Amino acid sequence: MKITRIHLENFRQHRNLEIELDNSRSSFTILKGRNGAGKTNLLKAITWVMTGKLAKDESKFDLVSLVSISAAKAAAKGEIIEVLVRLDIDLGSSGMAQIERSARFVKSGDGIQDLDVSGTNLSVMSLEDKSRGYQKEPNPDLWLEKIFPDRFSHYFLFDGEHLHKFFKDTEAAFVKKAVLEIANIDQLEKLVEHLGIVNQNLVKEIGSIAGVKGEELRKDYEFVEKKIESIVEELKQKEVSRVELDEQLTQARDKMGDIAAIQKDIALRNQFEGIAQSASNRGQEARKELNSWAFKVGPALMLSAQIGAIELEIETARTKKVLPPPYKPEALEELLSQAVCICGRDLEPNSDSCKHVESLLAKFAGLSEIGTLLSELQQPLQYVKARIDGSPETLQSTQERIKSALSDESKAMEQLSVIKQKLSGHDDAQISFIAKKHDEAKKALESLILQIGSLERQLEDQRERLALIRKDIENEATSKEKSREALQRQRFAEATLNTARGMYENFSDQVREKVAEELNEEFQSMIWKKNFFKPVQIDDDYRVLVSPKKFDVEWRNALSAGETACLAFAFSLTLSNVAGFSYPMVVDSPLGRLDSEVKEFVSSVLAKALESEIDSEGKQILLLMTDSEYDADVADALAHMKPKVWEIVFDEENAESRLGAIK
Amino acid sequence: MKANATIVARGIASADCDPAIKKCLLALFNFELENTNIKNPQYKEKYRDVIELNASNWIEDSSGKKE
Repeated sequence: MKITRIHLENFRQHRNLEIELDNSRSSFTILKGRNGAGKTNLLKAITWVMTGKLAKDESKFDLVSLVSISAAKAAAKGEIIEVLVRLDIDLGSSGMAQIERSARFVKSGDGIQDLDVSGTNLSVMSLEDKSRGYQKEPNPDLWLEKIFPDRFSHYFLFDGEHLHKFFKDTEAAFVKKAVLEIANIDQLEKLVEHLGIVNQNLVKEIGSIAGVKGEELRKDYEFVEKKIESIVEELKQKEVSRVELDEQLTQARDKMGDIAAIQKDIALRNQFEGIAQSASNRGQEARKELNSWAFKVGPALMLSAQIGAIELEIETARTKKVLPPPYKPEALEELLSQAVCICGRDLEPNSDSCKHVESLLAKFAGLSEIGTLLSELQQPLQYVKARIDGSPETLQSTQERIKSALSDESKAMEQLSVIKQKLSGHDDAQISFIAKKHDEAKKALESLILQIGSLERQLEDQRERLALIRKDIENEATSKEKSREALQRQRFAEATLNTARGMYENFSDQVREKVAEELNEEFQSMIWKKNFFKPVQIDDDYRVLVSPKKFDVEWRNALSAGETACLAFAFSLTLSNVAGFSYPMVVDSPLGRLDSEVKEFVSSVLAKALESEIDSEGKQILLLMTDSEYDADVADALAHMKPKVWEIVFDEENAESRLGAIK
Repeated sequence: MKANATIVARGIASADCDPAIKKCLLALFNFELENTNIKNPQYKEKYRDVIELNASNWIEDSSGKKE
């Protein structure tokens, strides 16, 4: 199946866009354009026409959101605007077809939002026999579901930026449906389900015709059957809640990485912040003590220094005989009053001797004050000295304490800087909120698992009870001639059901293993770590598992973005191979989440993988890439596939996209 | 493996089981295929008819197993 022409009218920024695609055996097209040029909307348009949705999980959307703004603006009040997407497809030996989906709107006011939906339409024109021309399909929905099953759509029409969602556990049910559907095993599954219901009805029928006792047993059977139904229903709901809780847990982990590790880092950060704070406090305390010490001892030190200087000066003066030795002026004054010196010399007033003594008294009067002062200061000076003599130890110990506090603070700050760097981008409140949600979800999940276990036990009990009642019904029927025929019918139905169930399990396992085998081959051919991973598995629950050889752990969440892209492309190619169908693959931003170095590698392995697909299956691939995605290296890697490259550009003036230069 | 409807149909046809069961399964499988795109096919009546048609050709022993 190949798309040969895409025609869009008034679909978002595509007022009128038509793209002719190559329908030769190998068709590889690249549509490049800047962000906002309309690539994603082209993918949405194709998804809409094929499935009636905009994406797998966008079944409910506002139809008005499809309308081109410029078309809405240009329309007059009361005018009808039609959004239309048409695909011309080549179905190979099954002919050609034209699928057209449209939605009509009436402009009810002057504003561009004043649009009322007036109708939607899907039409399919198919050309199986050229001589008869195109025929309108009477049931286009069924026709479309038959040639492109909705359940397959998102494995062929997808956004590369969301590849990480491709293999989530919650996707397992979709993987199962896709895998089973490709071999029509889903029909066998339906057969088993229907046969089971019919078989139960046959059991009840036997009871109804097997007399009074049989009728009572039938009622019992019905009662237990209803009980089982209600347990199964409850189990289904619990299972939905379990998947939701699982999803919440995964989201919490995805969002914040390993919460436990982050919380450990937060605890470490808090611990080091405490250590740094305590060291800083100790340092401040020691500094305060130093200040107080300096305040107390400082003046004494200064005084001591001054006194020492004065003492030295006096000593020098005495040595030079500028100062007299210590003496008592009162004694000289006594001699003058007696007018006789101790040596017997006459000290009569106005005598030369008297004048000499008087001049000495006058000369040393001031200096004597200094000497007296010095004598008086001797005692406090001794005290001060005594205090200062003990201070070097105090000073040294305080300095040591400051040093140690500074060193502790600096070490803690170093550790803090490392941890803070690790924690950058994480908000404490957000982490604790998510951690709380995570813990709540974990607890709820544990409780739910217990409830599910209990319900499963109840279910088992009720089924055993049902089997016993059925046995009683059979026994009752055997004794009644008229119900023997009904019993034979029911036993046949049951034998058929058991055979069908066995076949279903057998086919289901075979296809699952086959898909896993092919997926592994595709995946291994794309990655460079050829010996690192064990073969890809699809387990009983249809979860796609990738684990490294050396560790017995599931590795899917730890795959790099490039490996995830490879796994997703490999899965898409595998489904296509195993199904034997050749759906067109339309991928938006196929290399979107990859680093520039990985882009080139992934594009070259994809090119290699797609090349073999194109050659063997006549596959069609349309990649929608940004300018930065389709850079020179990627262009080189894909060049040998000779892609047809179109450019889509957004015309700002008219708010619509158009096709640009064709390379 | 190019899986399609014939895989299951061939699987049923070549299964080692009672011919009546085989016939019944093939008829029911074809019914499911024909009604693939019908959301609620009226299967109960059809299933009953097919079972009734084939049950008479199925011979079981006293233990409920086919002979």
